[in-house]
Amino acid sequence: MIAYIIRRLLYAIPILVGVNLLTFALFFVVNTPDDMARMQLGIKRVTPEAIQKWKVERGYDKPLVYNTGAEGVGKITRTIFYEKSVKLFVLDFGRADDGRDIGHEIRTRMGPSLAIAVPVFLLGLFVTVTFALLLAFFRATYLDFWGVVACVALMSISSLFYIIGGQYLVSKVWHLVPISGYAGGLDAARFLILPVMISMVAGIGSSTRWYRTIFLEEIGKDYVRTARAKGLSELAVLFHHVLKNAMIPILTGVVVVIPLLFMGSLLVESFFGIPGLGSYTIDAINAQDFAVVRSMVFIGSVLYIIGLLLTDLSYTLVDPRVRLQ
Amino acid sequence: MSEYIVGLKDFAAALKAEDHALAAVGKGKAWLDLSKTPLAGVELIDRYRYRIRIKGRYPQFAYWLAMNFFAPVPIEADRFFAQPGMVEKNLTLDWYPVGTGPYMLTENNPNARMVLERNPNFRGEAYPGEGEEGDRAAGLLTDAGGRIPFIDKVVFSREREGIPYWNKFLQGYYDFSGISSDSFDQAVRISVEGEASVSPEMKAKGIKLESSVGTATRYFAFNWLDPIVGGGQADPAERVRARKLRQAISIAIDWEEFISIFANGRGIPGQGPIPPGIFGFKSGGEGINPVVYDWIDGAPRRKTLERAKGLLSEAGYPNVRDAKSGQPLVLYLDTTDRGPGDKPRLDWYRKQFAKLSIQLEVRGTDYNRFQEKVRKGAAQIFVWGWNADYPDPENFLFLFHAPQSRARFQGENAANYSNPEYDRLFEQVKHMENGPARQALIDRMLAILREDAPWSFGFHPKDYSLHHDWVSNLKPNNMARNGLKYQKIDAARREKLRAEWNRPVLWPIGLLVAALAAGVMPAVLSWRRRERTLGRSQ
Amino acid sequence: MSLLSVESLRTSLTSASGIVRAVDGVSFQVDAGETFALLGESGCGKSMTALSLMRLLPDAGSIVGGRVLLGGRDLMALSESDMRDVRGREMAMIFQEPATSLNPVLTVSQQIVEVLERHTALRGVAARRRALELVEAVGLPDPAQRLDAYPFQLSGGMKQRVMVAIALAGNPGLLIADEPTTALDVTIQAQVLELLGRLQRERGMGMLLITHDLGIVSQLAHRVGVMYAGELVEVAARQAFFTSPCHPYSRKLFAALPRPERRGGDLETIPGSVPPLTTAFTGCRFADRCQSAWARCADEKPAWHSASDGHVVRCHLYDPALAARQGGTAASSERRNCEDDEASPAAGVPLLAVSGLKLHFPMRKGVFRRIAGQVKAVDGVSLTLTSGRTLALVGESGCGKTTVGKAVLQLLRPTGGSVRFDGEELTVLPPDRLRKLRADMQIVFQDPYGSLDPRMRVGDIIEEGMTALGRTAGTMSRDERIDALLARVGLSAVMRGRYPHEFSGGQRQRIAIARALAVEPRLLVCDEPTSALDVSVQAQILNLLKELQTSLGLAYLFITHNIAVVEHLAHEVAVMYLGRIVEQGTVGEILREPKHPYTEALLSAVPRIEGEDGRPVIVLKGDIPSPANPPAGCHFHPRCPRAMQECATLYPSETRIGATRRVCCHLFK
Repeated sequence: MIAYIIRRLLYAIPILVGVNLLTFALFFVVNTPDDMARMQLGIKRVTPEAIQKWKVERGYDKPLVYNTGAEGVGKITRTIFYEKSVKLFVLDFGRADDGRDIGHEIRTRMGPSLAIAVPVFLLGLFVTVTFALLLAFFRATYLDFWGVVACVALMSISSLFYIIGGQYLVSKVWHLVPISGYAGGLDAARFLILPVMISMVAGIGSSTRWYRTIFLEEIGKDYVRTARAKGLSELAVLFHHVLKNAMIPILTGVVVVIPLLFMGSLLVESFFGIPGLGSYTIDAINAQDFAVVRSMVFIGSVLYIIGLLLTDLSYTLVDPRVRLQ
Repeated sequence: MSEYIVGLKDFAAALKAEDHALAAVGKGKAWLDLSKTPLAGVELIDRYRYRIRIKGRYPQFAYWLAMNFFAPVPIEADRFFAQPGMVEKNLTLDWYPVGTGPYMLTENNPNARMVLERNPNFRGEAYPGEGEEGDRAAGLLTDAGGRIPFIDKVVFSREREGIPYWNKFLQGYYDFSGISSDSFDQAVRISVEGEASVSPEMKAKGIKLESSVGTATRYFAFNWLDPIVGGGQADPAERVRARKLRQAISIAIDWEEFISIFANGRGIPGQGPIPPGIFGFKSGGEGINPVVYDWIDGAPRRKTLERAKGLLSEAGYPNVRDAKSGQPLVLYLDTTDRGPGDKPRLDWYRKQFAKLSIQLEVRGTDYNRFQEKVRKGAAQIFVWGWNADYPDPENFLFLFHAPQSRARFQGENAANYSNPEYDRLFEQVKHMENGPARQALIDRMLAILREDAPWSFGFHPKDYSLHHDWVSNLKPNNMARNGLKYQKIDAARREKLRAEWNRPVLWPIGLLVAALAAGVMPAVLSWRRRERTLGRSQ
Repeated sequence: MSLLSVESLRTSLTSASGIVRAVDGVSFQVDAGETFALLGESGCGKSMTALSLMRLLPDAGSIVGGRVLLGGRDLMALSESDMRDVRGREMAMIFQEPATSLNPVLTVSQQIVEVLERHTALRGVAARRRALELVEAVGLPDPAQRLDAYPFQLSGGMKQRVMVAIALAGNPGLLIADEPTTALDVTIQAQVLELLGRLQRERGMGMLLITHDLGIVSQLAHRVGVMYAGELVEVAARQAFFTSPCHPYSRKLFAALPRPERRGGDLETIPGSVPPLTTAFTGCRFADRCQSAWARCADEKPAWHSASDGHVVRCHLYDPALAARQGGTAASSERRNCEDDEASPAAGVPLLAVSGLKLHFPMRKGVFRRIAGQVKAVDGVSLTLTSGRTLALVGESGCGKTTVGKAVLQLLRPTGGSVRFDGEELTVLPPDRLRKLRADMQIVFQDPYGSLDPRMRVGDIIEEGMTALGRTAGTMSRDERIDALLARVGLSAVMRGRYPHEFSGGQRQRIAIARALAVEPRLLVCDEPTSALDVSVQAQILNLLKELQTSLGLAYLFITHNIAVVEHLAHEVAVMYLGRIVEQGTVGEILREPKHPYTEALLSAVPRIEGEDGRPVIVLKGDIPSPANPPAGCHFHPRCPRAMQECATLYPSETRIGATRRVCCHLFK
């Protein structure tokens, strides 16, 4: 098991180097260091000296990937790519082009993102699994039919509609919760109720349908017949037998997103004024801030790799057949 | 600034030398005590005052002093933030500013909110007792002599989306709001005379409208280096030809229509580069651009298309074809507008040129490429704008100064306009005191610009802002940003109205519970039925 | 009064093609302490009958009529919640596939305790103690440790024992066993059958045994009911049934069984196939396939007639009014005495000569996936096969026989040893040369459902191999050749344009054979080609293979675990155990006087039809060990009833007995 984890982490290194190279290439195909400097310095009164100074200060005056002017390993190390990307592997993100420490920024923004993503994830999982189990319980009845119709309806509507409609009804017309905003501590609850509910409703349809399919597939298996032959009630069969087995495919899709919860949600956070990480990457791309872009892409890749690893590890918890080596 | 302040150049050089010296002994990051290095042009008078000596006449220097980067900083603060490890911990002066103003920045998180709180150590300042004409009538002077600031705490919240921002303003959770084009019709009524006022719905809530013309201008720039629309040709006949083309286009582009379609009427058409409120601007008939407008019945009227077409013929484009080559006239507009939301505007641009039967090709690029094109003088026509740094005509007139050419000297003259006569007048005008003499010279410069038409003078945007009636002592000013300390809030009234406007409606919760129960019922019934099923189906 | 009394039970399923009357008026009784066997081929409704009794029909199924009296109470009149008290307590059921019938993520004890908690007052430690007693009662080895094992850690036989323990947990009066040993190996099947018989006797349970295997019926049942197309056609006591089966269908079932005395001759087959149960029947359901049928059979549904005491049959032949007609035809079974060709050893050069064949799979471990060991799936196998002969490779699952088949064809490249085909060494042949030789060696797989591409037409499936290997059809066009091939395997040319799913299992296996024959091979590897088929269909395929061998001179490497098939078809037999051949010889030698204790046990474990042969069943202890970790010395010694000290340390070398026979056992040195 330990050996397995170590091996997987070793596999991650070439992937991350590749991701870094790709981000680097895509970014500098579109932007040159000069463009970045101009973007940061503003439009007015920008002198070539100021641009040069900006580049020197932030290390963008070097060649991109290969320094013909340097000696030995310097040909590789004294380049923008090496200097900007290698430190990421020790999680030193450096400073954004506006001078702020990226690590600090991520840490402060992570909290609000998690405050919304974690409840959405947990409640959503609970509600969808319960709802899907009920649909499976009432399979082939009109309840199942209308439940699936409701799921399809829910998943067909854009999440933007839920946000705007929810804000309009719940906050503007009924004045039940604030429209947007965020506060620390327990005070956050009243700001979070609406976005959490809306995100849940927006996500409920597709997951429920998917889980229902998984449950129905499990229900058709032989061991379920055995369980029924024992005289167990249908609910006991569903919760004790079917759910445990269905967790295996469900976990595949679910555990992998757990680490990515840190990354937040662009739309919900923007509309509900939650100061999370959701828009950090987009803002950085618009501001041509390479330091932030590469950090966020790197973190995204790391989190995804961790998610996949966690998925594999979680199998060992729910499926006794799986032994990682 | 080093060109103006005596000794600043030497000061910078001395500091640089010192820094290098420290770096040579491996202390490159060490703090430099600026007070140890002499600065010839600056002289300390007493504890709170210093005197700056500048080279020659430079009246605009006073404006520079009012800008944020000229704030005095205590040396203790500078030394404090220069300690090792501070930057690594994100502790920098620009994030935790130290100053002498009425407010302290007690929370600084631009991504969520920023909080200003009353500075208990503020030296104290009294509310002014006199003002502009009409200020007393507007009730702006009732607090005269009161100790400012009146407000204890000011919270700026980051609202990324317009809809929640607008709704929260209407609910009374924000004191101020701008007006987005989505909510413009809901908020503002324009009278027949063009006078804007809040809609009855807003009025019922006591919401008030403030408007002011911004110290800014937007325009179409013709690249002076371009052989077709530019003015730098060697052949005088060619120059005349291009000028007439520019004049014709200036007449054809109906900025009045643009303002009403794309800016909800928030703007006034430009007669020249100088916006109202800045010295040199003239209102009424004598201030109009005679190349584009006629003064008829006490109002400027855009010249007719026939006039524009006439100019086009004179320019050698009869039937909009080059008289010599017979080629149709195609012009190119460079823009960063590419999205589907920008299409109506681009279509409108094309339509303006089409009025003269000129075909306009819109070349959309990303921001970087667009900037590069302008920087290299490779664009032909482009849309541009300028926001004043300080309220002096020089700050607009220098945009046509040849040494400011963007393509040649990386300056701010994006159109790369060049006219020796204009440049000569500019050198005279730039450091003059405001007065009739300056006005006369400015009039001559404006006449040159209007005739040469390096820009199609677009419009000066008008700023509308809404605020609730519990806010008072509000006077918009596009240059000075320090109005906050004068403002006053009737917090009790705000509290009362907020509560009144936002009474929770509870029946939907009951409805939701009922709906859930209604959803559970069939499930329970179905379950009971199943439990009672017999083996044989009947 | 009977323990269980089923009265004209009718169950139907809704399907796309209409209402399937899966059980159509079935009545029978089971007494306490009695085993009643429901015998029939797949699709005859026997499993549906069992599920109807438990009221565990699939969602599409419903019971439309009849009564099921258990201890005098009509189960069909109970509500669903009352029925749950019956399941597991008054009657319990074990299923065909132990591998999938246990919940994979729950431990053995959890699955047993669940029943105890549902139906008894036992909780906690007491329940666990009872669970331990139960697994001990079903003979699970190391019961205390195994109680906390997960199903995947148990072998198939152990899983079925656990299933039995679960069924017994509620102390039911009636046990329904639905094909309880079909998925198990012969030696394991013998263990489970022995267990079921013992438990039934000890507890005086009634047992409803559902099976297709006459041997199992003969071994376990007291009374037999034969089902055909949704209804019972014959009910008799075991003795009476096996001595004189009455219904023409029952007789055909007996006749279709491969037996040594039928060697060389064709097996009896039943023409046609089971009619779809969506049909509304007017006459006898078997009439279309019955050689004794006459006009009345098509028009009038036969009633029950008594053939002898307690022996009833649903056939017009036994109508007392027609007693005259019941002549000798009923018992006529063709017996051809064929020349026993097994003794004549293969003449000439062997077509296939395998010697010392090894196929090892690496096991990897650690951070860098180092090879930590070898699974010796095949470990030194030597075989020879000449044209026109059949070599049967016999062994239980996991012994490596399929791997040998693939290694011979070079579908898996051997780790060592040599495979010579027609004098050419295949193991060193480069891939392109090998491809040319592929036409000479073809394979027919076990699963006729999985081995045909469902999206290709039959014609295309057959043609693909011809095109790929560049077989031109000579004077015939390719289409003609395909038609000829289809005709050769007993299918009609019009079927060329159809898709595999439109065919029954037997027909698909014919298609698979046609596909193999299309490239005119000389060697055909048949990997359990009939194990997924019913007895009557199996007979058809075996007849076909036999006929093809005679006319085309094919050599068969016949991989199977079914001894009866071996008896019928093979000339030589090799018995495999854990990757090695333990005994090899002609079919007569091996089957009549097995030398190796494993061969002996294997043969005795095959359930024999009563009166056929009086050999006692040798029930082997334990399971087949894993090839990853074979026992030291003779691989078989831990299970061998005749093991000696020597066996534990040294793998016996090969001993030749006579001209054709070789055996690896210390007993015969």
